[in-house]
Amino acid sequence: MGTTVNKLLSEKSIKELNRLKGLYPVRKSVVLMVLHVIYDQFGYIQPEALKEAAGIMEIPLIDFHQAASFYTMFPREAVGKYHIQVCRTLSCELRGSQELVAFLKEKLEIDMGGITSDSMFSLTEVECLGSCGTAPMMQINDTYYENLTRARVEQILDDLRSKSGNG
Amino acid sequence: MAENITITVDGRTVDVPSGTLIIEAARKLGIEIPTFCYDDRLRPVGACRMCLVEVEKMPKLIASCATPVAPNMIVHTDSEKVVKARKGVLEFLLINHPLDCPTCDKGGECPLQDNTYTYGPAESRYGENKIRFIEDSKNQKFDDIRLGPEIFLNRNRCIMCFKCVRIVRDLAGEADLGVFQRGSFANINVLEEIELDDEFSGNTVEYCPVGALTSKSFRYKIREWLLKKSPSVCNLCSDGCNMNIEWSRGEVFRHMARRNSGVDDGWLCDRGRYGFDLSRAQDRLVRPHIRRDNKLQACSWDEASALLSKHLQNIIDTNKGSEVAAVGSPILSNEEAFAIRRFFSDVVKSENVDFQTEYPKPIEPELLDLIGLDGSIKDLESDSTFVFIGCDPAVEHPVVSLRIRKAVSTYKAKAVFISSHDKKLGYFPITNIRIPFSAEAAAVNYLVSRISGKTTGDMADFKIDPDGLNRLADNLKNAGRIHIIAGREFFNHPDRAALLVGLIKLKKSTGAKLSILPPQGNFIGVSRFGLFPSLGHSFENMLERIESGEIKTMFVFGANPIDEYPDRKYIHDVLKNLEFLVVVSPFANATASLASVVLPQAMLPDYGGTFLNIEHRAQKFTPMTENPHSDVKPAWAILGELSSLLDMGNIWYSDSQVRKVMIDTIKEIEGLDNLPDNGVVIRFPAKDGYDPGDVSLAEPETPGIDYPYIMNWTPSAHHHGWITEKSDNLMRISGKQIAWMHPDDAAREEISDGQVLRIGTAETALNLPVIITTGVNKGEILIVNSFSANPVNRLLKKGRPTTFVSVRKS
Ligand code: SF4
Ligand code: SF4
Ligand code: FES
Ligand code: FES
Repeated sequence: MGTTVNKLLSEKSIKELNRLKGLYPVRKSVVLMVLHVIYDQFGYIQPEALKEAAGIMEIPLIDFHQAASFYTMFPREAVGKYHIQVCRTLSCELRGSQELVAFLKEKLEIDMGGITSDSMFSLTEVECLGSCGTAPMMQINDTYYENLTRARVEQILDDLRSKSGNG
Repeated sequence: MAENITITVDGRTVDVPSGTLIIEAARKLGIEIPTFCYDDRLRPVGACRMCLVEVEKMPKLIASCATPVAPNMIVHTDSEKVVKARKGVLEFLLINHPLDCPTCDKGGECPLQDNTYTYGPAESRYGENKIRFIEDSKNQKFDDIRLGPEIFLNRNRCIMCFKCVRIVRDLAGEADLGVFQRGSFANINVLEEIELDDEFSGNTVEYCPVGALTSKSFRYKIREWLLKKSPSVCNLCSDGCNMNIEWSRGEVFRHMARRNSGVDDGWLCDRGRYGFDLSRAQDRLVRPHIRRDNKLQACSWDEASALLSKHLQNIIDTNKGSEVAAVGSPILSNEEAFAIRRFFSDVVKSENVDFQTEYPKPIEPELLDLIGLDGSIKDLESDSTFVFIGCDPAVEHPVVSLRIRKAVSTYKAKAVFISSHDKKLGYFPITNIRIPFSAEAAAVNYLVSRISGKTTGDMADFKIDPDGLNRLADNLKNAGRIHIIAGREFFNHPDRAALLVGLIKLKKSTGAKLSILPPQGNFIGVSRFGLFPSLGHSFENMLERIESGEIKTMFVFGANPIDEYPDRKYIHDVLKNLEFLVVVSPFANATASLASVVLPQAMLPDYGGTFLNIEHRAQKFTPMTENPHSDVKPAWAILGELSSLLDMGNIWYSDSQVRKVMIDTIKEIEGLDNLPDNGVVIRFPAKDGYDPGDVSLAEPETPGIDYPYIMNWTPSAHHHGWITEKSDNLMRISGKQIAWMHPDDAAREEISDGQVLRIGTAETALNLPVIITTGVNKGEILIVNSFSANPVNRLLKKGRPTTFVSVRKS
């Protein structure tokens, strides 16, 4: 009824949403693209921002939540600056992914699904990421890290930490 | 025209129009294919696979509910392959099903139970743990989640047929219910902070094929096989939906749809469905009362009738019939209306009979022929442009509005609302053309001039922005089947005469259908069968004559003028002048508390009779055959007994006997004698060519400084009239009264959303929480709902068409 004020969405996201608006003959088809816009800005499906987006797109909010919950790759809660997804499917499992997971938990002092207190890292397990030939592997944000060992994982974490520490 | 296609099902051939689904073709042969997700009124989704059939030359079994027939198809619904597949489908459906039939409400009327019993495997081979959805709440675990004030969902029982979602989304056009996650974890739910409480929510429970959805008002109360069913007709609005009253030992447990494809098509709105508890409401009157020592005290029927007959005998003996008035109501049956007219004209010899206690001015007799639906309810689906003027179909005609929603959503019809506040049909696309309060007549006249190319008057006087109207006028010039529909606000309209002239002209200039629809129950029936006032004897006239002392006795049947009349103080003062007020009513109410005698009236489950709905369809309702309220009586029974005490004959002892007399008197209604289950549409000959002539438009009034806002009010989908607030169910679902205010006004008055407002006139005020919305005009306040504890008619004043109010934080 009343117009919602856009407080969370960045100008860039709003521009993108408006561009997407006219693109699909069946209006609802735009739902996934909108979820990507939110994901790109926040790293997860920020619920209040989604409300704003639904308002702009003039599509019921529930349609976005239905789609977001169908896919496992849209995190629904805030994730760390570096979102770690460890593959737990067969090849990786056989090559020791569970040990890596245990190591990550210990090193980051968080549980599966958790986020470090400085919001730097978050940890989840996922199914096969199609990189079985280089198992075990994990994905951090959009990057694949392959042929992992404890030492390499430690190195990766340190690198990321110092990179972010240096700004 | 679609050509016909011949197919063979189980060795028999059938001819069906192309596009027909296999399942419907089989039905035509009397072959029932088991289903879960199929409903002929909803879009097919092919979700459950229960309806698999074998079609020769097709490699796989196919879903008969989602596959249209093709020429020369040979279908087998009972082959070995099909039988095996059904077993498999059921085994899969039951994998995660809790099989808790003994504690499930659906037990006994459950398609899953029935289909499993008939077609399913006797045993499950699944030994693993079932997936279970559990809700943690305050250290307790629940299978059920609350979707809204009335609806609960047990997701473990759900078989994902999507019927509920399709009902909410495709039929009602609401975005409340959805499907989340996927695979075995897929589940139905609402979003946080959202309630499933739209006006059709109860249909999801009725049509869920398992016990996943339940109603708070029914769950865990009784087993289905213990219920008896009385076919009945809802009278909480004028749509006349068919339903079964389901009861046991005289107690009503629920209302269920009784499909009449011409009327309700098997849907009920929540007002009609959950209003079933009215008959045992707290305020229900079940015994006669007489005023003694200035207090109403319970007494026997003998005492009450003796008192009444003595009073009436005196009037008859002294020839003072004209001192008596009778007021009926649209809640009465046709038989009651007829009996009231007969009794007062023949026995009491009084012409003072009316039922219009709600309107400031009585309806013009010529208008009677124009009232009702132009065409049938079903025809609405094929209209292509709707123009609503002073009518809110979602509120006034919930189930009939489903036909309009279908026309809009499926057949791309246009719906345009000309109104002072925004209206909607769920989320289906409609157009609101906003005009100031009570400017309907001016707007319609403007449209007419514009369409016929005449110069249009100056709209500035009426503060109408002509853009929307111009566009509408241009569209109407080359629109297809136009249907103009006027409703409640038409009847209440301060400038009704001018609006009527406008509507008739608009109809003529566009070739449209014109329907003037009263929202109240049996309005059309009671006005056709006796309660329509003869000239000079309207309720309005009666009030004047009570004031002047000419009328001293009044009988009120089912009405409640104190809550209905648009000036509470005035009506109260006038009724107090009566020497003798008799109130016949199903409920205690404000009017009854003034009475000398109060008589308990039969209501829907207590008696039988007929109603007429908006399309003039006469439909029969029947009583429960056991009733704990042995003292309640319909008006005809009360008057029949009185008349026999007065030695005047006219003794009515059953509704069918009253009907016989009616049929002897009114020849158009022969059909009433032997009504089929789906009723009969009665055609009253219309005096056509009614030309109301020209009327000049009333000048709009402007507010003063102290009372700068115009007040308007509307009922809601769950509440209409004074009766629905007696239902605990309906009050629980939607018992809120609120005021709408424009953001600019709210900013000026420094009022924020949700604050309680004091909305006042010079004399009195109402306190209500506010919703700030652009859905209402600047300078206007819209009150939603009126309840007797906080009645809107306290602010209204007789002879004052516009109510000006002040607004401040209370
Ligand atoms: S709750 Fe009932 S109607 Fe809704 S999808 Fe589940 S089984 Fe079907
Ligand atoms: S639409 Fe009217 S008649 Fe039908 S169930 Fe609702 S209130 Fe009753
Ligand atoms: S199993 Fe780990 S990437 Fe495929
Ligand atoms: S009834 Fe055909 S798939 Fe469900």
